[in-house]
Formats: sequence, structure tokens, C-alpha cells
Amino acid sequence: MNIEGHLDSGKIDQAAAGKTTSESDLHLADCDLCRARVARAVKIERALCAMSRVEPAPGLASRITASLNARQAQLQAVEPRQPKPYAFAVGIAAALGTLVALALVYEVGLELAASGALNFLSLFLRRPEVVMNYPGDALATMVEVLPVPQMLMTLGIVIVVIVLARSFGAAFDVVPARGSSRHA
Amino acid sequence: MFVSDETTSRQSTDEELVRRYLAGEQGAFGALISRYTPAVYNLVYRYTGDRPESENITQETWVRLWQALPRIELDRPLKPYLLRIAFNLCRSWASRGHAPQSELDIDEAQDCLADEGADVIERLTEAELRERLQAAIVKLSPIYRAVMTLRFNEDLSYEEIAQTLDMPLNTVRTCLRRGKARLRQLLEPE
Repeated sequence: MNIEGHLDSGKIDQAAAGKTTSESDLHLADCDLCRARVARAVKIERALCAMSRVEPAPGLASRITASLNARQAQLQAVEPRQPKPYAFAVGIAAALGTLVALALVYEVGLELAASGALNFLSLFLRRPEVVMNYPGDALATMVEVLPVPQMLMTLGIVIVVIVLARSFGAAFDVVPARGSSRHA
Repeated sequence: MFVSDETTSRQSTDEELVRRYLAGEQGAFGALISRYTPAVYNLVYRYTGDRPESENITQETWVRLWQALPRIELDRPLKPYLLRIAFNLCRSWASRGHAPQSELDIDEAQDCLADEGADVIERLTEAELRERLQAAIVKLSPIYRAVMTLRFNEDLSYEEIAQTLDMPLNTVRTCLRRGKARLRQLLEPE
């Protein structure tokens, strides 16, 4: 009951839903005002149940569908491509090439050290005027002892390894291929 | 693409449509969009009161659902989940400084009806009363509007409303009771 001795809004709702207590039944039997309020609550409840939705503008669902289609197409365009079948062979070749190149660099380094070329280079860097005063045949002898074939082979292997590594990267989309026409 | 085969989609349950979409049938998602866009829009519009914003939020709701589909729990009903996304987006929209249609002062609203007397509801036809209700609901606070919309337009159970709005069951009951009391207050000046 409210302070005026009538049913409160909770009791009115319950009575409108047909859930009354003996206390509210007794009150309703004697109170025209509360009976009218319950009748109005029933009418409002019925109207609420029959209340229609606010409809969206025609074509909203189609526009949403089209927008999602566009998003999906965009996603498919930027999805990473599958690595090409030869990618693993290229990767293995690049790894082996790297090992061979390292072995050759090591061997060339040992030969340069054994022939005294490294000491000569060190002297040239520290005191170039001394090297400039060397007789010409001494310089020619120094060049003759250089392991030129191994050095050239090492250089060749390093170039091959770089090319293989780039191909491997392109196959996995790690390195963008030059002239690629993919757009996000 | 998300274009649905109308006849087969209408008979399918939400769960079937989601499964079909996840299995690669793009049109199944289009069927869900057609099925629930009016419900999502209605909830969003009742909250924001702004048609362009409601369209944007409705669209964003579908994007969010689409992104979440691979992780969704298929044994739970889709509609409350979808409406929950929509409601959360509405709250984010409001938290970014947008104002949902504001609650009018009750006295001010009552003034509009005061000269019609307390028996105005009895005199109104059902259609007139529905029209008055539509206008009165706008004057409720956004959360009451959401609860009333889910209950009376979408026919969700109290449990589903609680799940959708992420609130305790008792709060749903209280919101409904207070919402209805406030509607009566607006419609039947004493």
C-alpha cells in the first residue's frame, strides 16, 4: 500500500498480471480508484505487447550485406599467399650455400694469413708510405701468392646465396617482390 | 558472398545458419542479417533516438558478430548475443560524448497531458494508446527503454534480457516495473 492507503505500483502490476494477494483482493473489492488503475495497467500492458518496432530504412540489410561483402573481398586480397611449392627447396639451397660460403671465407682467411697477405694489408693500412717504397717485384710477388681463385669462388657463392635468400623471402611474402601489383 | 537463398534460410534455425556459414556457405550469414537487422536497429534506435547513428551502429554490430563467428558458442542463443553487441556499442557511443535522447522532466511531460484528465487511458483506442506509448517511451531513461524494447518488442525472457544487458535478473525486474510505473505516470496524470 502507498501512503494514501491505495495499492502501490508494484501491486498494481501484479494485479494487472492476475497475481493478487488476499490483501490486494480485499482492497480492490472496495476501491474504485485502484480497480480503475489496474484496468488501465492491463490496457497499457496489452498496448506495450502490441507495440510495433521502429523499422529501419528500406534496404538497410542489403547495404550491410554489401558492406560485409566488400570487407571480405578486401580481407581476401590482403591474406598472405601460400608459400610456393619450391620455397622449401630454395630455402635449403640458401642455407647450404651460406654454409659453403662461410667455409670458403674461413679457408681464404687462413690462406691469406699463411701467405703474409694479411700482415701486408695491415701494414698498408697503418703505414702506407712504407708500402709505397717497396720495389715493384716485391708487390708482384705478394699478389701472386693471393688465393685469387678461392676468393672469386667465395664471391660467386655469396652472390648466389643472396639471390636464393631473396627468392625464399618472396615465396613467403617476407620481402615484397619488385613490381608487385597487390593492393591492400 | 553473403546473399541468402530465401526459401531454405527462412526455415533454418540460427544455429544451422551459423554452422552453414562456418562451413563456407556465405549466403547463410546474409540470411541472419535479413532476419535480425530490424531487431538490432529497433534496439539501437530506441537507445540513441538518432536514425543515421542507429544505422551505423547496426552495421557495426554485424561486423562485430561476423568477426566473432569463428569463436562463437553455437549452443547459446544467437539473438541475445547479437543484441548484447548492439547494446554495448550503444553504450560506447554514449560514452564518447553522444547523448541518447534525454529523459524529459516528468512534470514537464505530464503538463502535456494534464488537461486531458486521469481517465484519458480509458478513452483512448488501442491504436491511440500505442501511439501515446511510443511517444512516452522516448521520455524514459535509455536503460529502461532498452529493457522495455527487449521485453515487449523482442519478446525476450527476463533471463535473456539480463544476459543481453549484462545485468542481474532482479535489476531487469526492477527496470521493467519502474519503467511501466513511469509510463503510467506519464500517461495518466493524477
